Amino acid sequence: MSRRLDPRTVAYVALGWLVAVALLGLWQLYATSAELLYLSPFSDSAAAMWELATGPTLTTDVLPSIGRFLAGYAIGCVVGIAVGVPIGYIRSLEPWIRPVLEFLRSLPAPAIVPIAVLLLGASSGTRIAVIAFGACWAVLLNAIDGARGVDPLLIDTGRVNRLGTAAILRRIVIPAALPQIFAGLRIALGIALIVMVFSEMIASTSGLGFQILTSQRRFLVPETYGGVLLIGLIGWAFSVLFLYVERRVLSWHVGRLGGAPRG
Amino acid sequence: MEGARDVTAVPAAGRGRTAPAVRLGRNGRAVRWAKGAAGVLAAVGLWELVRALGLLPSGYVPSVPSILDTIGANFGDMLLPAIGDTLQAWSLGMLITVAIGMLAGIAIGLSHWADAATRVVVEFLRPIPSVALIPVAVLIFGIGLRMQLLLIVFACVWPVLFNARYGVQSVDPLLLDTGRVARLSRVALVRRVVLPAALPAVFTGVRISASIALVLAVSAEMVTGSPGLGKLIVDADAAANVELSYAGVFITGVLGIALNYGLQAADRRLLPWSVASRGDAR
Repeated sequence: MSRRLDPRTVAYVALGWLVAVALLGLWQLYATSAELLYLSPFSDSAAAMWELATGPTLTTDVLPSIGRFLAGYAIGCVVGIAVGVPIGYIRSLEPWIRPVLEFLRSLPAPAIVPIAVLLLGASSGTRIAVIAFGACWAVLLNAIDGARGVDPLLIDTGRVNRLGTAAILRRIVIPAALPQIFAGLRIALGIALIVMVFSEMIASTSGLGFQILTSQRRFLVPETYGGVLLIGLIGWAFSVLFLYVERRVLSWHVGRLGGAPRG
Repeated sequence: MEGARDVTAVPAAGRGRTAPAVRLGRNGRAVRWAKGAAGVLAAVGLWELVRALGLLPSGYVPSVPSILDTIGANFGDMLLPAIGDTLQAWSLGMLITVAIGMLAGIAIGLSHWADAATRVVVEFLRPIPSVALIPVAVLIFGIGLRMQLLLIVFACVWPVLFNARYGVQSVDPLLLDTGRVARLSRVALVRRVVLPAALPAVFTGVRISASIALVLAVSAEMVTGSPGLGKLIVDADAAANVELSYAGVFITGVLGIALNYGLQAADRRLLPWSVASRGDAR
């Protein structure tokens, strides 16, 4: 990437921000002038968000939510990779378990929240388990496909060099499947966030999902919008962080293929 | 959600019709089917084993036959109407999603200025987890179908939009030049060259959206009590009718699979030139 700024690029970026600011202004103007019962102005919503993110709710709701999200996401990803890579590597295994996996993948994670609460109680651990359940399938299926797609020549090279199965998985199959695994991790990130918010809406007494639902039910309109803004901001921050990590981890891959990564 | 892989394969779209890369014989397909069925049976066996060993509180883990019995006994009077309600929200939501996502995606794909103007807004809106909008949607529309539609469209429009944009932007320049040499007008170029080449990518987006739409429809029903499978699950749970609760979850999963396979079949039917139609070469 060249350092010199192309005026056209600058114009494009400026236009994008201009439109964003204009929309926020429109929201502000419309909400203050129309005085709608269900729409609070942007300024009030942003103030409510700030209050939520910096007040006592930071330690009772915001941070616990993020903690559950990270724990569930991490567990889901580890399980997905740890189970998916060997399944993809042992090719003959796949037809036996594919239908079961497809079914489990098709279960909307929110639908199992009531059952999970029934089985495991209305605890943080239950919510983490459901987040992990929701997140693991995208990773698992991509890990299977990625590991199946590894060039057999690479694996044979490993065997010739007398690597054990564990070493082949760790040093050949996983790195080669990594681009596709990352595609799964990216999908799982969005799912984990959705399940986090949702799990806090059912049989819960804390968390961001709980906060926005209670605010809505008590008709605290700015607080509702503020909560949604905060959740959106958290989602945005994690997706930016993810892209950064992905670019660093997969830099060898893009470099080697000289351009667009292929699955 | 295996879309990410499909998307990267899209640039090849626009080549001619190709035969499926892997053709299993009738025998091979039967063997594959039998293996899958054995896997399902093993999973059921594992479930019953967990029950028998008492690893989970047994009152909360009904046996597979009792779940199937519950489905049979309640199918006509409870499950079918719930499926109908959920499918209504799903299909209307998908219709609006595809219309908006495709038009916006193609417009953004065709014009650098439209792309630039919407980029920041889109990048900020997209990561908002859609269920977080349930309270907002309830504030705006109250409880009911319109609220569900708002949620579904907000969550599902992105995959369609991004895939449409990607599809348009990655149309083979040679095809465009050929069209120009043939003196096609701009409108004709879009309709007869860009659109057919971009449609397979759009359809990949539609398939990703379809499963998200189901999640949103069910979630909204669970939180707000709008009628459908989600409400059925929550109500059964509240009435301590564990079997019916599991039956609802099971049916939701089956519905998810059915929609996914249905759309895959439609993809193959409607877009025989698309990459996804060339058989599973995995």
